[in-house]
Amino acid sequence: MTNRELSPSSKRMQHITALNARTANLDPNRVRECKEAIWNSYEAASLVPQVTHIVKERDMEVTGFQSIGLRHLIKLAEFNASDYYWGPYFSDVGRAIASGEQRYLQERIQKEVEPFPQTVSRSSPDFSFIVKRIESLIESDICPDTLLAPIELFVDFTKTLWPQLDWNSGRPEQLVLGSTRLKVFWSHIYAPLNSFLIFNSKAGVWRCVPDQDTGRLITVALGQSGEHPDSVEYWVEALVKYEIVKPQAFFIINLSGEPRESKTCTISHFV
Amino acid sequence: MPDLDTQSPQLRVFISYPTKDGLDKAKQAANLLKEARYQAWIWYHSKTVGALTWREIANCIVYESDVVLYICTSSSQQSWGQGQEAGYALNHRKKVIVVALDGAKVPVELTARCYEKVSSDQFFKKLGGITTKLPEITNRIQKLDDSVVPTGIHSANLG
Repeated sequence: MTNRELSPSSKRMQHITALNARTANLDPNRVRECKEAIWNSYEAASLVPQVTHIVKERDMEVTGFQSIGLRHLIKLAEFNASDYYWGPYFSDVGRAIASGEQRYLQERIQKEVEPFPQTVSRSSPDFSFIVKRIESLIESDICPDTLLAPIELFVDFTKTLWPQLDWNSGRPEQLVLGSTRLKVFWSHIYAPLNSFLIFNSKAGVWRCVPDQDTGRLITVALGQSGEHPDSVEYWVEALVKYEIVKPQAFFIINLSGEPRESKTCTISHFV
Repeated sequence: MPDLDTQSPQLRVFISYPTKDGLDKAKQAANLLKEARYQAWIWYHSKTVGALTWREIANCIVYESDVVLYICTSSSQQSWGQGQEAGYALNHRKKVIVVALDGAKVPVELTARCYEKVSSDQFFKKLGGITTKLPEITNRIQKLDDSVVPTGIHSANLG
């Protein structure tokens, strides 16, 4: 069988294996540090284990998988140079994959679940309405445990619901309503959100194809490029598919009104 | 890659510290940075009376800082506020320089950004060294510019 005839998954694995094997001209400590930076930052930033039920799949030929990844070239000389600090860069890469996952998760839920007709006003938000909806879900035995929230209302939300937020339960903070606790995750520029998403984390399945070598949720490959020998290629990817298995356990409340101008202080505040 | 020549001579530094046991060191850092003619933002000194704390801090980190100096002490892991500041910085791909004191454990998401591990009595001296070379250090920190958008796997990676 020629390379041209290989299935997409075989071709992918072949490329990853070859890339990881071409490290003879790379600083081995730097390769290790860069991979650890990716894994550490990804695992610290990923919402997935906290807000979904994870199922590892071996067969990526199943349709509907999404690629959430980065694949780039870096000059080999710069990669090996002792006066370059690559740790922060590869830490950003791991976090970027986690952000991509959050964005994909939010978009999937928003696509599958019809939003509630009532909205939360950006200019004068009333969060009591959200609390009431959560309480009604609890009464219906839905047991919501997750709240994905738009960062633009962070200040208003925390100010209003301060007594009901537990800041000492580790990260993230939790919204406490009676005996029910919801982990609160905030959106950001790489995972924007214009709604509150409330759901039970067990009501959706996160199918992913793990790394063939490490079994981790993301595949990390790094080595000298075959096509561009003066460069280092990295390939970091999550292959995932999110499926909602219990739609009634999800609830969306959109924001209404114009987004606020968020910049409120100026350079004069520096000392 | 940033060019050293284009770096602002007045780098703006947001100083992140745990309130419980980091304020003294944060003040020392602010003084050192000011003496070196950088702009330093430390909540203790720089907050605006009546302003919403987190709106002000978020804006400062996101829009008005070139680099975040994260002073890591033994209470940093438990500090919700410092964790929030780190989140703002990392989510906006800010350059972060971590200085860990007295063997303090650096939060996992910041381990790759740990620049210096020092004892308390060496902090002033070490930070003086960092301050002197701040533009060079900042320039050498590589930063990702791309964002990640989910795509179909076949077209994205195997075409």
